[in-house]
Amino acid sequence: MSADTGTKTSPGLLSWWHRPEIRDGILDNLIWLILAVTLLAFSFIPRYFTVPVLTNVLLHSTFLSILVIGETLCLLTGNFDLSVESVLAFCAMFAAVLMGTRPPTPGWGISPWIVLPAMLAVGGLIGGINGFCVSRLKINPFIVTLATMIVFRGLTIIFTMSQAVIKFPLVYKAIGTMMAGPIPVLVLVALALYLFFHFLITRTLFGRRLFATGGNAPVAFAFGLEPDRVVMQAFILSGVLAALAGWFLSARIDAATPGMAQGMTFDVMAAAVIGGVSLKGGKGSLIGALGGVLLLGAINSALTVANVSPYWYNVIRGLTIFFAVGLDTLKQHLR
Amino acid sequence: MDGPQPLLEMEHITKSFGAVHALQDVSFRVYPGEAVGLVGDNGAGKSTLVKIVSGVEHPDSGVIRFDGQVVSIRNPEYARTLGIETLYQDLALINNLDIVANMFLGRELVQRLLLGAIQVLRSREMETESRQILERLKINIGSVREKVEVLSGGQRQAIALGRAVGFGKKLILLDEPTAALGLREAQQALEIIGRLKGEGIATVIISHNLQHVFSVVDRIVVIRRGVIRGERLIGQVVGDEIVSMITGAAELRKLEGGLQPSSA
Repeated sequence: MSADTGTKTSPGLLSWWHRPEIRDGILDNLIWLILAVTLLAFSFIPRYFTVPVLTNVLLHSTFLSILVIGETLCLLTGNFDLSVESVLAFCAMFAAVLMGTRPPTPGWGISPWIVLPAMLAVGGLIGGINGFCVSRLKINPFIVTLATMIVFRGLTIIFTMSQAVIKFPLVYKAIGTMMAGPIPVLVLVALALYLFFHFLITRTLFGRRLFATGGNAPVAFAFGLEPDRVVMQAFILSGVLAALAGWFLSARIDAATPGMAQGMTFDVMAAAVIGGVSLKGGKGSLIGALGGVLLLGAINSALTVANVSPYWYNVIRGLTIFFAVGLDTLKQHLR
Repeated sequence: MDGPQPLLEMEHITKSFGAVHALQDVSFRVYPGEAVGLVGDNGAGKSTLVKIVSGVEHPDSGVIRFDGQVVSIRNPEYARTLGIETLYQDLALINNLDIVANMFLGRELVQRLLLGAIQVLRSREMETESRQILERLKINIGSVREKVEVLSGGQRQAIALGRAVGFGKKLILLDEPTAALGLREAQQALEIIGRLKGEGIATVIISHNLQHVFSVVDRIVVIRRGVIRGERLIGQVVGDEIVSMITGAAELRKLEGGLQPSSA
């Protein structure tokens, strides 16, 4: 044989690796393999595989999973949104104050039917500010969304002098505890959102524009795909979805607290990246991101069930993020 | 008047990037069905001229007429509605998308749902049409569902060329269509370009490879430092005068000729 056999892997054992459809199929769905192995390992933890525990995993994943949808949209355009956790808290607090529940705030007693659309609009507005700064003013998304994350957390605290607001009108909070048979309605809503956005990303012109923008924005521009507008839309949707998650979480716990969802952004980023959404933009799927959410949920609940000291949670979360980013880099090398 | 009306007529076009005068008072015409070669050294302004016609850049001053109408080519979409397609040297394909998506970039076929709020891609139609275009141009590609990042340089260029040529209606702008291609691939690309003349579509070709330019164009225009230095019909080119026009040697000789009697 000639000298070039050295550069190609010898036929046989590893030849399948060089077929793009097989290799990409494995790399893009790696998350499900990891999830399966993890669950298998967790099956050794006593009392883990029980319906209440698993339902709890799903329910607690709901809020994270909704933020992950918006984050995935931003990541696909080659940007990211660190402000989601603060937008969630700010919108929940905004709604709480408008509806005027218990002191310390006097509240305005506005109907939840008005408050709900208003809080989603506020989320969209904050997303719009992020999107405008990133796409029009060309400021780095890290700086922009870090700033809005800090500002809106601050405003959430100022709003109520750092007090929690509790007890919401039934119309507002009902969705938090409603059940459809054995399954919480929130889980079904999250699932519906995933189906809808998966369709939007994979089958529509908007999705095509997202991938094109993240893949190569100058080319997308030259072909009239308006990358700036796409980035703007992604951030607005991320803000609206964060507000929606704010509604669901505050409805679930029947309270809006100044510190709610603090630190959640890192789980959001980790879930998306573990799920195969690239930090470089233009690559990934919502189905994969959902796998990332479930993996984080499974790990968190396993720590609880196995009685691991909460002091270790941050260490394990940090390592998970490290693992996620490492995996993203490794995948680019393997292709 | 003299002969047919020009398809594209650019008059006194000026364009600067900061202190750099990319184009200075450039006037340029293309007639229907004609193939024009635009040649010049690096940074001469060729690409800028093409980008103005395709709507990516906008001139600081000057008038553009297309089909006899004064037009302001605001963006690439508008250029395409006029019937102008472009193969860009540096803005060709999007790697993470498949061949079909790249072929239909910016002209996706969609089905509008919910009063146009949601535009669903008509994937199957786009796939069929892409395959037909590539077949018509005799570009052989395995699957049109392949992502372009896995294609070779030659295949990528063929796709980009196929897109410009396949959808071109009146004018096709080709910025370095044979750069980065192997000998055989370049030959194939030139054949595709040559076939356009038969279809009555005008082309403007930018290339460093004069041999390639000479083999397909009717007329050649030389640009240097943002100024048009001259033009020749292919049959009228004498010796290496195009090269001396590109490098500026022709002007230098003229200058020197004024100072001292030439030996020839």
